[in-house]
Amino acid sequence: MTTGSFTPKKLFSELRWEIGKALFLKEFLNAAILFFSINIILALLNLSFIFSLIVALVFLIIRMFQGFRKSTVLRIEKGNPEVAEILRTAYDHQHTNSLMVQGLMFDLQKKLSTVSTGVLISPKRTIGKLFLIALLVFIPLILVSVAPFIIADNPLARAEGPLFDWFAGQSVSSFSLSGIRGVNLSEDDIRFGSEQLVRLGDDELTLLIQEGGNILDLTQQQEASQRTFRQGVYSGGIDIIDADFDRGARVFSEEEILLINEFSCAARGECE
Amino acid sequence: MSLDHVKNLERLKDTFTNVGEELRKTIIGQEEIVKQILVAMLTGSNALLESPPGLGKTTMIKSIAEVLDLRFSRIQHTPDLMPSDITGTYVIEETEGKKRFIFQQGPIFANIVLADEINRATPKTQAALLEAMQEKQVTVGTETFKLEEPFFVLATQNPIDQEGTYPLPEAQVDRFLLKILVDYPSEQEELTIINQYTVAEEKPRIQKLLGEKSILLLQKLVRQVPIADDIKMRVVRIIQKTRTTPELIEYGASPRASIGLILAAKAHALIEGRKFVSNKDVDAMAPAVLRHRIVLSFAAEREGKTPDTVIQQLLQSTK
Repeated sequence: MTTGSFTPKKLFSELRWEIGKALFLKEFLNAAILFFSINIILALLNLSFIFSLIVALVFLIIRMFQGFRKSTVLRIEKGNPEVAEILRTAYDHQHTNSLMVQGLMFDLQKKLSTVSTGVLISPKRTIGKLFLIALLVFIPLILVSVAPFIIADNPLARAEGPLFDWFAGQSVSSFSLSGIRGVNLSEDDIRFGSEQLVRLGDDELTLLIQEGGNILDLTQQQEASQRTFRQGVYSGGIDIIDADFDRGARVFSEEEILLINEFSCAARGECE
Repeated sequence: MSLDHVKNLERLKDTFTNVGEELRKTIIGQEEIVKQILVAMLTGSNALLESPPGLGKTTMIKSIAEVLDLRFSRIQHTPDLMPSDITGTYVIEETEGKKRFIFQQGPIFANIVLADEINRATPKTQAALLEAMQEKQVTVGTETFKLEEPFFVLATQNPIDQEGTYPLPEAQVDRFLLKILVDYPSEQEELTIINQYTVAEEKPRIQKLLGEKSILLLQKLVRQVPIADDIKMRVVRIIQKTRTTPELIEYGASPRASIGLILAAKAHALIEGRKFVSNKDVDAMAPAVLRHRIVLSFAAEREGKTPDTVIQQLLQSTK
């Protein structure tokens, strides 16, 4: 075509680009749903989210490829039946050079500015998908928060660490850090046997207090059932035992607390 | 081609709207009939109008010729009408004492020819007219004369009075692109007709809107109107079905009908202000293009079906 700012080829290229955008949005949401669904299963198995990411990416690429193979015209027609005939005629005559075809393209350009390719994406479906994604994101978090208090030996509790940490942007290796963020060990509060520590569940956590007393290494843990109050683990280290506060389990005795305090002050070099 | 030319196409619909408004000054109602006559003109084809007498066919065609600024002639067909009465003949002319034959043009030499009651003329005279329609030329003696473009024949026939008529054979009817049925006006339209033609002393003045050149240009544009492949295929399927539905149709339409239907649909689209052929155009023009090209089966006639109802059935089945 020789004239003006519009040519049939350019018009159809623009259409393809618009459809590409709409297609990407649609398939991206589908891929996200797939990713989060698989991620829950992987979290239960304590596997890395990388697997679900790979599956979702492959799904997205295949769907995009399949989508582009479908006819541009048919896609637009499906969303805009009122332009079906003009669009199909224009498509069939995109290589024809005549005044009427030019006029047709001019009309089509005007019509396409009023009918968006956005209609290819159903707003209801999109909202539904977004809602589903949000649900898939929050379900594990809710379960992780609630399940340990309801179900004994809940498998999700084991998945708690990787899931939570992944959503919080942390690495899997910082597994045991997640549960005790609120613990304050810097001042004279009750550091051991306090409510925050009790909420850690059935695990015994070992807090290693570094020189200076404010850097913690919480990477070690063992089953609370094996817990023993290990005296003499020292210096620079301190043992804590989960008191299972909510289930009425053992709370540290005064004697034990005094002993721990003694270790603690020794660690900080503040004992008289 | 420039964008301005393309934008000028936008004015086409206004042109046809104005033509319609001018025609309404003399023709009450019959808008669909006028549209179909314009379709025949824009495709450079001929139309057969069938109606009882007194429905204003002559007035309508005269008015159209006036609005389009085309030369109009009327031939009243009678059984004693000779071919030379249509085509013209050689007459002796005497100038400066010398006698010579010169060709005296007949009424066929016009842009719009109204062949009134064509079925009253003998087959020989009909054949002379039909040759002119098809070839756009007439042969007198050994000489052939080209007819001036644009050239249309609008023939009429009376469906009631069949006595002393020579019905057109199917092969000749096929040469008319359209068979237009002119029906009686509605009550309100008839009242308006009465008021217009019994009170006003002067004939309303009609403005000339198009000319020969414009019509020829529009004829070229009609052929350029793009049509989608699937609509073309639908037209082919419709025509094929007229040949493959023996329970309804004894004789189907020829490929000339396919060409005619597509051309008519293109012209209809242009008149409607569209730059592409829609299925609506095909549906609108199919009855006029096909009703004189199919012969219903006995079974269909016995069931009281008419060509129009059968065509509607075909249109529905191909959607």
